[in-house]
Amino acid sequence: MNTKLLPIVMAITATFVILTGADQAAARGLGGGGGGGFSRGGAAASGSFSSGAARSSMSTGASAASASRTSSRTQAAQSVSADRTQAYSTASANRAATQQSRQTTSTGNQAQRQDSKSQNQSQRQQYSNENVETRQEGATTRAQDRQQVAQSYHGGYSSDYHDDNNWDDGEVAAVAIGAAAIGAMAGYASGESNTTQTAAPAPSTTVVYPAPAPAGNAGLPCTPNTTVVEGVTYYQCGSSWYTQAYGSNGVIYMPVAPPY
Amino acid sequence: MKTNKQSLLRTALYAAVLSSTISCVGEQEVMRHETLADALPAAKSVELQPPVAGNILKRMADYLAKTPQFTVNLTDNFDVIQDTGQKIEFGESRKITVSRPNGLRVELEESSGEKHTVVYDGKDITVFNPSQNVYAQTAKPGGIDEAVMYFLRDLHMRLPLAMLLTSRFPAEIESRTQALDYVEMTSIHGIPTHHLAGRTETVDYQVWIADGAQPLPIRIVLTYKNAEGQPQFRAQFSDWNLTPQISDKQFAFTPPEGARKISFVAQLPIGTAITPAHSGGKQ
Repeated sequence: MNTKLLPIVMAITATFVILTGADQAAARGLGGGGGGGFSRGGAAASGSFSSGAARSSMSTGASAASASRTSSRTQAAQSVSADRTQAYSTASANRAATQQSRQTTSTGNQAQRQDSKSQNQSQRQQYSNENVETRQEGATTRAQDRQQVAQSYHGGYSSDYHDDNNWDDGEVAAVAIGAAAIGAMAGYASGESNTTQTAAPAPSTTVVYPAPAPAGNAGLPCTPNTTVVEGVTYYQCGSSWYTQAYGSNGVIYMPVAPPY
Repeated sequence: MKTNKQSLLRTALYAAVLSSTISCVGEQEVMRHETLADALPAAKSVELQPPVAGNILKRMADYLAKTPQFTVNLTDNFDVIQDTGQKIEFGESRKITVSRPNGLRVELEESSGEKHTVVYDGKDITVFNPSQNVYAQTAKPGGIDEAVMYFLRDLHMRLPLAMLLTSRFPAEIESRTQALDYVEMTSIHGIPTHHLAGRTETVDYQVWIADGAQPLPIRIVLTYKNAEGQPQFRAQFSDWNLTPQISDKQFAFTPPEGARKISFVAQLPIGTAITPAHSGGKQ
């Protein structure tokens, strides 16, 4: 009897795990990065001896674009967080069910194990919640950073900025990646291909999404019409225009204003 | 009788040998304790003296900054926290050539196979991507220090451990380090190194510096303690060469046939990114 029960329990468990995995895959599809589905950039990718997290509270007077990005980003963080919370809950429930099944065949040892597992579960859930909070804070901080970067551009480079101790500020790269994730989300939501090179509107540096494939038009949402204006190659997809530019993630397609 | 005497003698001899052996063992134990007792305070005093760690770090930084020319290979790996919270490691290898004050060349190969070359000749900074045959170039006279700072701060490009390439490295690392400790003496691929642990406002770092006449960094680990998931950057230096064969041609960029010049993302005109086509989506 026990030997028959175990495969059934395992099968149910596997089903739950697969379903949970599917949830997470969906979440990743929305917020993920480049062609392989994994984002390649972040704070550690910079290899810098400083990061901009400590300078996050300087921004004032947000532009409309920045504000909308902030709210968009917060929403994004929340929706991913919600997914994650749900996934964790499902996993916990799943584990609890598994334990109950096991308990019917249990000995004293198993009961002890269950105790410790329950503790682990509650700990995991707690960590999960803490992670969610941390991630949301992170999102807000990055949004503020972006505003700051934008302002620096609009205001030109002050001498203060040039004397900045953290000239190798690694958070800049992470900011760009953050915007890329939003671009991916927007593209996904509007029914475009997941490999679309779109981006959130941004005043300066933050409109990037790494090209997943190096050659040809693989990074663009269509087979574009190509135009050269004053030596610069432009790619047109419908009413959208793009050009290539070198960013911290390599060569990417940037949405630009029509060249004529 | 005779046999009795002999056996008594033999027993006495055994006893003597045995007792002397035991006493030897005892002495050895005592000696070992003494050695340990002597060693412990010494080890403690190393830990308690930041100046020692500080001297080692400063010596490395000064040595590197004053080395006129060098080549070195760097293999680095870094954590990227995905939106799911999963930590994924990526890697790259780079060959660095420095010729002070004006020559810098970094050849990079990502773990994906994508390649990039960064060159500086005292006048222009150029980044070249051979697979797409495109390059971005901007003028920045002033030397490696100026170029590297401009590259990171204004062009928002990546150049991991760039601070180590500049002549201002000693001043930079000193002013940023808030705490520094000597961890241990250890060996990396047969090279005896001093393992130091430092802390800056936003990054905790560890560096392994070769012992001896050439105090070069062998390994560096950076921990972004304020970033989500506290991702790390880990780098291993190899093949340090302080007397390389270098020609100026290595730092000048000649566009290959058919290469297209493109902008740096940061240098695209402000506002071009805001187009009606891309303000939509989920906002």
